[in-house]
Amino acid sequence: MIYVLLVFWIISGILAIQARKLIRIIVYLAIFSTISAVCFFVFGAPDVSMAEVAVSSFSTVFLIVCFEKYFTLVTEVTKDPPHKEKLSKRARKFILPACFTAAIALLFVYFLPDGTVNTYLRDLYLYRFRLDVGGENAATSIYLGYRVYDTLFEALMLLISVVSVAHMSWRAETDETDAHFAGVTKSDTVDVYTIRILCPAMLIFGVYLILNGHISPGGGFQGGVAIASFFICRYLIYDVYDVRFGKIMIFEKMTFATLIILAVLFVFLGVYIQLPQLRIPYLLAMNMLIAMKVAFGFIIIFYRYIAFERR
Amino acid sequence: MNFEIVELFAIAMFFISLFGLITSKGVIKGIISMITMEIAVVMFFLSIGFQTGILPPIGRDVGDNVADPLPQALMITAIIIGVAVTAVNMTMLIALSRQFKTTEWDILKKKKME
Amino acid sequence: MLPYFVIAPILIAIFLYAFSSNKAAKTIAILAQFILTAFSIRLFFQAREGELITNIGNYESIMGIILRADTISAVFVALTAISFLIAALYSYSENEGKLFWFLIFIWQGLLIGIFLTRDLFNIFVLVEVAAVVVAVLIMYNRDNRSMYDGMFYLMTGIIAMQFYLFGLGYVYRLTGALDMEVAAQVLSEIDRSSQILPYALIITGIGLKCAILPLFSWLPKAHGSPSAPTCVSALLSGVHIKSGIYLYMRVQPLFPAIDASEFFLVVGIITGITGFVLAMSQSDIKLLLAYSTISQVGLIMASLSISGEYAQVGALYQAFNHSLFKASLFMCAGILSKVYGTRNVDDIRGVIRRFPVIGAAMIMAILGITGAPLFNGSISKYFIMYGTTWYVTWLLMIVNLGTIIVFVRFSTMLFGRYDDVKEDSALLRRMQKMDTDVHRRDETVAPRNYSESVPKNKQFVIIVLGLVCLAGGIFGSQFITFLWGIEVSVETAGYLEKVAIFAGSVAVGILLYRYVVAKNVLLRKLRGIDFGFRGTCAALGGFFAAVLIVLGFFAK
Repeated sequence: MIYVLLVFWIISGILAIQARKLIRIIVYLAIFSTISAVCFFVFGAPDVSMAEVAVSSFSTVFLIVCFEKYFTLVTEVTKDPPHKEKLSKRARKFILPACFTAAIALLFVYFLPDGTVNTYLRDLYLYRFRLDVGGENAATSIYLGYRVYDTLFEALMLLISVVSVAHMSWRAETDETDAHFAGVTKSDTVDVYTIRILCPAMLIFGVYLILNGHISPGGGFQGGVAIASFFICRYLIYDVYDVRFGKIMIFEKMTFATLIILAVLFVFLGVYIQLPQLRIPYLLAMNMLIAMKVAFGFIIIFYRYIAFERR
Repeated sequence: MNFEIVELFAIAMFFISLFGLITSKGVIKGIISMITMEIAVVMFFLSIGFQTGILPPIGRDVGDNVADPLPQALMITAIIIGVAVTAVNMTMLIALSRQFKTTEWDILKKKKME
Repeated sequence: MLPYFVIAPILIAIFLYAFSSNKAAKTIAILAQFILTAFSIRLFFQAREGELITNIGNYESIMGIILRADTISAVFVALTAISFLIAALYSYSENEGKLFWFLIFIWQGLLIGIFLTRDLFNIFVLVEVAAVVVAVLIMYNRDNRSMYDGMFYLMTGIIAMQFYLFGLGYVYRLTGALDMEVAAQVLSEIDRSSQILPYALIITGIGLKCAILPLFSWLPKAHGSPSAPTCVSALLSGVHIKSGIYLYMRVQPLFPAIDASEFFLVVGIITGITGFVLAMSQSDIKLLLAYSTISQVGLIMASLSISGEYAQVGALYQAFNHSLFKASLFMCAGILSKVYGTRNVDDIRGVIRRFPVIGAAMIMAILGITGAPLFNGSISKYFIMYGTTWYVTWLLMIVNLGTIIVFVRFSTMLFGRYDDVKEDSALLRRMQKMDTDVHRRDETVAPRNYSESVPKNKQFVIIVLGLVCLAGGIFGSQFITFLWGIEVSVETAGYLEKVAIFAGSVAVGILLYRYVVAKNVLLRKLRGIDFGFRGTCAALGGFFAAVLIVLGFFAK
């Protein structure tokens, strides 16, 4: 069963890479991500699966906005050559790289190490995670407890990407008041009503994911994306553009600083050992802070894309 | 040489993405191949210790057949890093294509020297 | 205590971004840099007493992330802090805005994190974040060309790190550990055939970060990007590239059964030769220095793989010295390109006459990089070549001869009369206008002012760097003992022999430059050699396959 899924996974991946039209690339990529999310679920990793779904849904919307707005007028997007090429030219373009990568892949498979899995760390984590960090979700315990140092840098990565998106897309011509962009047609009422019904559901789902991140699949990141998508949908229906970038950017950074300070106080300084009753509140607070940070970040990125040099 | 079949799929996807990168004419295709490459690596990580009917590491009384929680935690990080990088790349691509009116590597290389 | 060296700069960065104004930012930044430098020097003295280890959160066994500071990493941390302090002092006279300082501080924190961590996955995260930060800093001025350069750097870096991540997965599967020390212990009990693939994957990722032979295309783009701020280029060549070399050093003991030193000796020397050949062909100062960095990296990689008695410590000292003189040279290049309004080596003349201070600093840095007697480069090269086989010595001498030729070309800027080249004031005006156009877009970046005189702080910084190069040569062996705790001494006879060789190669170098290099058309054609994005991806695959084949079929 899983192998059938994986075959489809490979096919959709090849299609996404080989597609020429931008809209097809987006669709195949969405299919690819969805199948991978299902596979991750089958592998017993619902957290990763949810993160993948959140990321893929966000990046689908994101790519549509990008491609729709910026590449319709670009003239030299890859086109099919009009007539058949000679074999030698085609060989240079396609067969040679294909043989090259296939040869490397074969070498890779030839040198595969033996398959015995060392489960030392896995057993240790499964045995200890309730005692050390608390909560019922082992992945979250590692994510927010044992390896919280990594998580800080991951949050930093989002922060940097928000900063860089804002920095690179800033133009003098696009004043903040001028940034209003009517990109979505409001004529199709069915869409609007559907999104209107879905909107509160998204918000509730996001809050659920955040509050239950430590006992069930989900967590700060997934919930944050759900909340960000609530705001994005709100924009799509009501066409409101009342985001103040300067304030949100600074607020996002403050959230991140709080996140660092909380992690330092609780884990680095070892408070979790002395005050075990604070473990669950710590996990909740971390999830909330991450969700806030992620939601702010994604809202900024999305709105910037809309405001970025409208034509 | 002893492997799991799922792992082979991940390796295949990894190298298909590498092929996509080598043959990518435009920047967009490069970005798409990067995304698929990242997901292939995630797939490999989660396939470590895979058995059929494996359960997620959540809840109190789960049996022995539980997935390894560490790769999951690592891969959430990797996925988020991936989406952040994609966002940055897309912004750069838009800025570039606005200025050069193209998204092809070769033309970009020529035009940037002017 | 160790994680605070990483977290403090990041918190300072956020403080600067959220609370300070553009003007106050640089003053706060320099104060903070002084404090960080003081603490990192204190860390260095503590690490000399014995290895420092911090287990974050004090979790049992290797469940958490473990940071470590031994003498090697403590020296790198101190080097990072000092380089960033110098860069901050250099940029004090430029109005870069608080976003710049925000990114600089985050970059510093990430680099220190790379030097301190012992966790393989943590390295991955840090390197990825650092790649994005560096890409944004390269394109900070949003010039067309630097956009392309930053994007190329980011994409190739991320793809290489996917190879690294794949290899990390195999290491985890084989050992059940992400901590380097523990993984190395477990791997020493596993047969060699299983280790080849993870080693090849990891070293491919790190090889791109080190810019060794087929994987160096990103380096001239990133380090030599024309509109990148000068101190960013200086830091990239000074410290950032050392993080790749540091990771290379750390990954070798992770796989005890694999000995790839011969392979990397060959690759390093070929990289060194390719680097100087390409550097000779450049006419842009920044690109020339960037290609010279490739050559130096090749030299360092080769010397790390030499089995000579003191080659390892020589390589470490060379890496240390390289960050001093290369930072100095990049800063000089930044000053010169600003006051002359051009980056072409052939258009800049008479630096000594016009700016004696800069000229003196440049001479000291050039003497350092070429390995002139009494300067730091000579000591490190002496120890690299100490007790190696004759052909390796000859090859390294060829690399050094190439470096001399490159810097003979570079030093033509020093001499001649300033009037020889008419100052292209129209060009200067155009640059000024472009610059203000760029900066007007963003209120966080104030326009800079062009002036004929060089600000005092920049003169001070480069003179200090030059004097440190001199001091590192005169007190070379004491310095090595101080830094790494290894007793070394320079034998007078051997050192005099090296002096004679240096004098000979300078003579040969000048002659070669005069009659062969200066007017060679073939070299001009080499200038445009560039793998491009697809070529770099193919090179990644090819390098990976080459490592597999060499380790799997030829070496044992």
